[in-house]
Amino acid sequence: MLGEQALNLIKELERNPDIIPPYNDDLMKRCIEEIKSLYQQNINSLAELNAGRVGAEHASLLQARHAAIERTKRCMLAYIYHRQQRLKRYRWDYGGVLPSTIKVCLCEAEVRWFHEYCKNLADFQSGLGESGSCGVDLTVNMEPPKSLFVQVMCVKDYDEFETSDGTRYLLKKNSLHSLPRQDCEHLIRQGILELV
Amino acid sequence: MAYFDLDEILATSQKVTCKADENFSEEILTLLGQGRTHDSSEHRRRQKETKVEIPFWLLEALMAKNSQFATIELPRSYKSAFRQVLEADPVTVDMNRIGPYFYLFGCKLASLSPPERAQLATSLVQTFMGRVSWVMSRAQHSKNDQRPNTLDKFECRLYDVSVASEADFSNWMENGRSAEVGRRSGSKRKFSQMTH
Repeated sequence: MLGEQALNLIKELERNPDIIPPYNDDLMKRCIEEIKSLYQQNINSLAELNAGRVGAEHASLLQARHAAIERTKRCMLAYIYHRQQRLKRYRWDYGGVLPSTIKVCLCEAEVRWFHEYCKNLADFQSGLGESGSCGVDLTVNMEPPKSLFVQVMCVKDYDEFETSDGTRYLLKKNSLHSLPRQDCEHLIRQGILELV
Repeated sequence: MAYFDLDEILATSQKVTCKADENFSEEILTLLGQGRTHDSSEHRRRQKETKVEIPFWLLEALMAKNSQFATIELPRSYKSAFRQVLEADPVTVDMNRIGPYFYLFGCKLASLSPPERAQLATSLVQTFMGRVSWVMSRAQHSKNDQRPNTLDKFECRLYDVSVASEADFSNWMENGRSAEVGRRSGSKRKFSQMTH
């Protein structure tokens, strides 16, 4: 049915509100085909209409096809937009390296966009602060910190972790540590550590 | 934002029954995949009023150009009989069952000036006013309860926001600190909550 395929894209996002579902290349291509064919049909109808071969009631058909094109376009754009928003969120939660489980769900353009975004963010951050300093990492201290060190408990097994002052910690499950807040904030957001 | 809004796209994909007038082109039905065989379409053309089911987005687009195009028949959950149910006791109605986008779709419908438009609009407001205090009080006293599953999507969002701010508030009362990084850890904080 008209616009049904494009709606499936939206439903896919709706069903998985917390992850990026695999990029549905097949469905996107079919939507594009649909748009193209509707557009072609409209051109043909318009020619007939101008030539006076068909009555004015065909005008509403023309409108209907055009509305369908607009609708399909809207669904596709919304699909891309929401995926991009989620991807952007990953940058702030997980840092510049995407886990491979997420990477396989992205299309080529999205991976490219992610790298661009990381680069832009890095450029922007390095330009902040006094000249000569190495910039400010905006992704840490999302909430005003109350203390430099935090007590954390390790929820999952993790490799050895080196803090910015060079101390090494072995993060094993259920172990307790006192770590500098800004080093371990990423790990907390990824759910590897938990505040005690 | 509204252009990319998933909820709005899904809400406007719902179908509406309407009575088509004479210059309703049969081919639109074919476009929608509801076309009849040739004989009956000739027959239907002669009938003065035909009932058709078309998606809301298409109806909206067609009526924007020509408001005489068709007469909307309100869906069951917006009809006078159901409005009386809502008036009698808005709280007991299962919004999720009658349509997860009750308010959004209702507003959209009202914008097309269907018959009984004023009553429909009033009823939407009254229903919301009748339910909102109940939704809020459920949320404030939730204590890890499941969200009631009789809520409309909009009410769900309201509920989630209310639960989160209640948790923040009691946290602040007890510890004198607002929720810190820990609460945002990884998957606990959801995309669906962040975007709104």
